[in-house]
Amino acid sequence: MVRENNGEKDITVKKRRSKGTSNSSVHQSSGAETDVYQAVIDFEEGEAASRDPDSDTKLFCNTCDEIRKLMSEIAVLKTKNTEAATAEIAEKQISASLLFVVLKKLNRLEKFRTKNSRDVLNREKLQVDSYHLQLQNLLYEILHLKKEVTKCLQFKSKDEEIELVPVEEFYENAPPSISRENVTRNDEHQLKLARLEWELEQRKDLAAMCHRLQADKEKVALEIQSKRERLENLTPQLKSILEVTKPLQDYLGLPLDKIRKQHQVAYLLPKPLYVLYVQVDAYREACDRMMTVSVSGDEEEARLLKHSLEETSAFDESDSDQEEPGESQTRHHRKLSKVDRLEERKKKLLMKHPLTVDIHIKLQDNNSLYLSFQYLMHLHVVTVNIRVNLVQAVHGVSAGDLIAPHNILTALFPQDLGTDSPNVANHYQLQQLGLEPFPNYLGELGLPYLWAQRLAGLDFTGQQITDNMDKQGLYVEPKDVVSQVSVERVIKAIRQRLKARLALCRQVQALETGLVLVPHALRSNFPSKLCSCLSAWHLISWEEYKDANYSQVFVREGIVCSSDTFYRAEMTRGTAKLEALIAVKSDYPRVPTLFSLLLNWHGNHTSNNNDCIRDMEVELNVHWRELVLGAGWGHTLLACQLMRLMVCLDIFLETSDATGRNPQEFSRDKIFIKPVRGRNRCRPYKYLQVGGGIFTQR
Amino acid sequence: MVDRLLYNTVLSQTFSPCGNFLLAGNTYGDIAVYDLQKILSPGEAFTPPLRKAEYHFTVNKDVQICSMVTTEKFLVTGTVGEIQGWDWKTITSSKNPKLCWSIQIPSSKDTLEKTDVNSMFYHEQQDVLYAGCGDNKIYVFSLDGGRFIRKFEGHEDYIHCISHWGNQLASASEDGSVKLWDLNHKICSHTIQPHMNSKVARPDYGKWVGAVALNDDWMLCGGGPKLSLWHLRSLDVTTSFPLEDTGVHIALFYDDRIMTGGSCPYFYHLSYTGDVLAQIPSSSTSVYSAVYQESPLKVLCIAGSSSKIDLCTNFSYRDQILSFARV
Repeated sequence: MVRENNGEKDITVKKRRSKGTSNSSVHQSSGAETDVYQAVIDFEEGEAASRDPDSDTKLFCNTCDEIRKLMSEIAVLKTKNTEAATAEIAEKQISASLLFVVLKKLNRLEKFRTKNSRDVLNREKLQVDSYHLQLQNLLYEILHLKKEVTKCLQFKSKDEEIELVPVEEFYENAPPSISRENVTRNDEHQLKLARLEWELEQRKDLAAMCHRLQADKEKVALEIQSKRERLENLTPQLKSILEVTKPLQDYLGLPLDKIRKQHQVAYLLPKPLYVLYVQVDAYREACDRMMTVSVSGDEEEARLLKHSLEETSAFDESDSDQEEPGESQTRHHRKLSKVDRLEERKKKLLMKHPLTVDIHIKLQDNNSLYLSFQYLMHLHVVTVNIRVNLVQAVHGVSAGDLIAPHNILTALFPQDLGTDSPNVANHYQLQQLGLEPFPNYLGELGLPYLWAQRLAGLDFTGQQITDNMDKQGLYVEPKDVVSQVSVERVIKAIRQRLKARLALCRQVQALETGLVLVPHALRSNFPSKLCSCLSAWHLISWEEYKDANYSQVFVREGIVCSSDTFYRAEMTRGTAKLEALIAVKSDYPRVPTLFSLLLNWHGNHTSNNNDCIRDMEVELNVHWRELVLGAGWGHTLLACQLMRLMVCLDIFLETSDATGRNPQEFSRDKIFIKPVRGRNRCRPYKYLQVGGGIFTQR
Repeated sequence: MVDRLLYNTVLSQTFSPCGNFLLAGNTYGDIAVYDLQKILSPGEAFTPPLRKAEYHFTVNKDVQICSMVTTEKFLVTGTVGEIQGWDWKTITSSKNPKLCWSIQIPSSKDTLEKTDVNSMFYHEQQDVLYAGCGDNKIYVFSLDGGRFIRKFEGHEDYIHCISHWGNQLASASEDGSVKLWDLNHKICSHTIQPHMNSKVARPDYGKWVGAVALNDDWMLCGGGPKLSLWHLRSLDVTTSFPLEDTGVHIALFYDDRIMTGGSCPYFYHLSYTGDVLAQIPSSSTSVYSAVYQESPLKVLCIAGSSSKIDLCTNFSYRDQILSFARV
């Protein structure tokens, strides 16, 4: 109902408005009228503001109720449809319409009010918005400031990176003007500042010093440079002077140039050979003019080798890891076939230095010995090649063997056979490459005598293990001292050996032809007539010697060894045959010749079953010194011993018959008092130069 | 250089009166002294293969020591032309033996050489020394003052060996004979020539007799001829021993067996009937000396032309070998 009413009201308002507009349009023509309208509005606005909206709402509700009451009274009256009713209706209709006017007034007031509150709301809204904006701005500003603060906190000062001297040191060294101890002791910051200042001061000083030194250095370098230049300029001058003096040298016959050249070449020698060259040459200069020392071989190659060695050693120093180059090499080798590789390695290991030191030792009688020393660079030993130069050639098989190059210097000193390398490491070096042991290469490498090592300053006996050990095998540093102590001994020993061997050779040569030659001076040690004769002379091997049962004593006692020379001599007289095994020691005559005897005459007699044969051996092996006289006794010892043996054989045979052996074969030819003497029935082997010479027991 | 000891020959040995020391003299004039107590004591953990001499002393350099005997107070050495007496105390207690006396062998003027004293025998009761010498004679000296008493002459060559039993003395000579001397009457009672007996003669080795030994009923001799056992009363060969020797130098009676050695590789123990009871290998080419004692240490020492001396503690086996070399 209310709605219906509202709708009706709306329609009425419209009607009224259209009426109003029409009315206003009527009243627009005069300004006074407009003012009225305005005044009405203002009045209405004032009314609306002044009136209480709640009482208006009550008034509106009351009005609506009255209208509803009136409507229902009208409706009742209409149903009566009487005249009175109609009049009442008309009355009633008028009062209702008046009520509508009230409603309209109320509505209008409401409109004003609504409009007013709306305006107020808008105004408030605007206010709020502006406040909000202000807040936002402030927040942003705070954030920005915070960022600035953290930035400041994170700031690092440069002074933290500077290393400063410790505080105590600072107080000790810095001048008081900087340290200002009264302030800085308590103030960390001031302390820091002071220390920094001091640091700065010091650094400035040091920098200045550095500059000064650098300047000095440059000055010195400049000086060196200038001096070097001057020296370099000197060389051509010296050279030209040398050139000029050449004719003079030739004229005077001075071999200065040659010597100089030799010395120059000597610098290319490996160290052991250099030591050898220098020491032996010095010895030659001082003591022995009958020898010459020279260097020979491919100089150019030696120069190249030396150069490359220096380079590699420099490389080794810079790069401590030596495994790698080795490895790359083996990788390279792997490409080659196995045989080639082995061959190459062998060649490398057995490599000799291209230069050799040649020593030529000459005797009074012009016989001479050439010694050519060479150095095995990887095995680190010195070997010798020997050549004997004789004025008179030696004939005969067994004699020639004595002065054969491989033989002549054997056991120059005891035990020094030259058959195996003195460097123990060689064995393992060779083994590692699967090569044969050292003695198999003696032919191509030469003989590694111990004395040769000593001449070259290498002492393997007191081996000192050096740093190079794992690289080079056992490397022994050549020392001059070692060489110095042995040079004279060795050269003298070589001379003696050469002399002794030549003499021995001559003796053996004569013996081979069946002659026992004893020098005239010694002839008186023997009876004039000998009945036994030397019927055969052979060279025999160590094996043959060793296997003979009557030489066992010496073999067992180790008095003879395989390096000695062995002969078998045969002597005969009638049916008796005496075999003598003769061991000529390498250092004959220092160690005399040893005889082992076997007499074949009515059975075999040796020192093992017959004391008379044993006594014969005693005469030769123990009492040999009685046979020879004078300084050169060694040169005739062997022949004397053999002659003595022949005498002894005569005596043995003649005395055997004289003591009743039947049948008698040998006539008594020598003069002796008693054929046997003593409980051991010894024979009169000893010769006395009494009268015509008689024999007695010892 | 050959060590001359390699050619060493020991001609005589003897024991000290106390029995604790063995002395051996060689042809170079040296005497080696061995301490038997030390060598034979069994308790030692380590025994070297060759025991060496305690010490050496030289009688006369390079004059061979031909014979040695022991008396109560002295060691008597027979060398060449001389007999010396050494005080035992200085030998056994110190290493510096003292020479007490010496007797020169009287030599006839026409001989060049001095006389070897090849064999000696000491007669305890009479305190006299019998010496069979190289001038074919047997000399008798009194040890009380070194007086020459008498000599026995009759051999035509030098005497190798003498042996004594009761009133009899036997001498073996290079001339091929064994002479039995009656000491009561100072005459030669019998002469035996083994080389004339075909059972024992060995012409290849000569006629010389190198060793002789006597006991009550038997005489043992050998040399160039074979070793043979002779019955004294009948003077006939009872047994000739077929050994592989080339000369007999040692013949001894011991209990009821015979010990013999010479130029052969063995030293033998034989029964009277000729059976070999023991055969001891010898280090020497020829055995020239064999001595034994029963107490305080039972030992048999065999020496000869070698630098080694063989020791047998039970007489039948070689027990140890001594070296002539110094310690």
